[in-house]
Amino acid sequence: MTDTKYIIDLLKGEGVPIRSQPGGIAFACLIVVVPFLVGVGATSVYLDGQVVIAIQSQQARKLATAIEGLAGAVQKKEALEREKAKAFSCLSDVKAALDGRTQWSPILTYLGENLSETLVLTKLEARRNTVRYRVPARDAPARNVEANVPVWELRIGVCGTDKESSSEAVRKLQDSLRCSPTMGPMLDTITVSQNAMLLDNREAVLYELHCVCKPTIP
Amino acid sequence: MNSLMWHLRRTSLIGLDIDASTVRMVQWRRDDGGRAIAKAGIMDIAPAGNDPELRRIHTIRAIVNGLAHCGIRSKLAVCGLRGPEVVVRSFEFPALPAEEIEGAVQLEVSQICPFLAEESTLDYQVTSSTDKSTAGFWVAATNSLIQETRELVSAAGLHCALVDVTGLALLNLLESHLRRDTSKASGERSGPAPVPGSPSPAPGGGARNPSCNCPTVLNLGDSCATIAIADAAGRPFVRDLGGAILDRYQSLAATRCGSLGSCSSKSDWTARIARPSMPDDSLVEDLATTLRYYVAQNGSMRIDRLLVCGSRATEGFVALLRTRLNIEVERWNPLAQDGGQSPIDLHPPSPGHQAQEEGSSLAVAAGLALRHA
Repeated sequence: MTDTKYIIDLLKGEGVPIRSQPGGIAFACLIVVVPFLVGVGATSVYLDGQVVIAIQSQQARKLATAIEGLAGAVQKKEALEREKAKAFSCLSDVKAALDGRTQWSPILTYLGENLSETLVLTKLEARRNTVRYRVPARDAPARNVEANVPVWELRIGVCGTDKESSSEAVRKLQDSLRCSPTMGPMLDTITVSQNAMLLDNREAVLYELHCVCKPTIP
Repeated sequence: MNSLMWHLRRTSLIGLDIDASTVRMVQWRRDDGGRAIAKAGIMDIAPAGNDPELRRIHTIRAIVNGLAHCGIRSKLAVCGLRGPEVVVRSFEFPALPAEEIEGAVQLEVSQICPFLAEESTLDYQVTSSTDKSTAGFWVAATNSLIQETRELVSAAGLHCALVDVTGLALLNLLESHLRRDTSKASGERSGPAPVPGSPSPAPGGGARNPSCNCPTVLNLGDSCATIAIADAAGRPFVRDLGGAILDRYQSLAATRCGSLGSCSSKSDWTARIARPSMPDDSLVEDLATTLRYYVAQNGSMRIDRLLVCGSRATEGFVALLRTRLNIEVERWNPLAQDGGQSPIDLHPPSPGHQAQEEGSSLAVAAGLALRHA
């Protein structure tokens, strides 16, 4: 092949296609392919984000619907929470007011129901004492410290005219107090003392039951 | 320009000769140390009467069908311009630096070119440059003709890579043949090459005998005849003659196919291009005048031999030229010299004519296709 002698081109080279060389291809890749790939990647990420957003929006709508459905219950719960807080505040007041006191009514009721007819109640005295007791420290529960704790003592005086039947009735009263669901769990010791005396010019035996309750550990 | 040639050398271009009634196409391929025809074809353009749009459509269809029949897959084409809207003129200036040549050419073109500068495209080529003178030629063509050609080619699915001039394409083909034959002859024996054309060295080959024989080729196309001559300095002389030929053939086609240009059958239209002998006296007279003018303008030149090619280059017309011009006139088939075995597709087939004989009409397309070489 040889070159032609006359090389006139009335298109002035406009019609000649661009040369395809490795450098040109690489340059074309740089200016066309790379931005195209970046665009495709960005579009892919964008579309992926759109899908994620659509899914999460749908879930958010479902949750909003559920929240609307539970709104009444939530309001009710909040009201109950407020009442609970109010009740707790009242209870703390009650606790502060009842600190150091014991409810004796059930014990008296039990005592009245279980006192034998052969005995006459002559004395009923409740007293609160304090004793030194080793209790767990507040800041370190594993360590015991000496502290003053309240201890209740109940003195019950009864008398009977017949010595034998009265002694039997006192013993039963002592057992029933130990087995009492209201008195038994809080009792620590019961000691009984007796003394003879005249009651309406008649011989009678006076018994005193000294009940010591377990210390109330705060 | 070097980078342009570098690229085109690696691209197989189609030489596309779009004539008045026929489209011809040639594609070369590399051969052992030379070239050979790879694909060649001739496709008739269906008649369109006086409807330019219909003619355009038929031309596009002919190009597309020709490419399909020939099996040409390349998309790059070289087209040649001819006719009154193309001007080729030589110039010779006192020695000029390279950067001043373009301005000098433009000044000369502005004085003698018949086209307005804003309506035409100019290109030039320096053929020789010495300490005393700078010689070459310029080519101008109207933008409308260039654009019309580009649009035709583009509509046919091709890309117009180059736009050349048919006369220059003929000279390129002749130059190529002379160079090849000279190299063959030098390999076998010393002495001038036997054929074709002149026994003188190739044009532009260096110092010459002042009274040298100029390679001259005449292409008889459908629309006009093109005479192309190269002088000792390699400057081309190109003229398109006998524009009336187109009218003659169009009138003949209209007579055979009807005034509206519709053919009754393909055979009727084939008969239109049955290569009738056209002893056109006015054309011969124009040719003789042109040759006399050229010799008169270039006193040291002589024209002893004329090679005739083209679709109308019949033996009868060649004999007429030989008689009237009183020089040696030969019918030139450049493709036959190229080995004669190349496949040439004719559509429709031309009865009574060998396919290889059609190589004469493919000279312009072959010359255009050389631009890739």
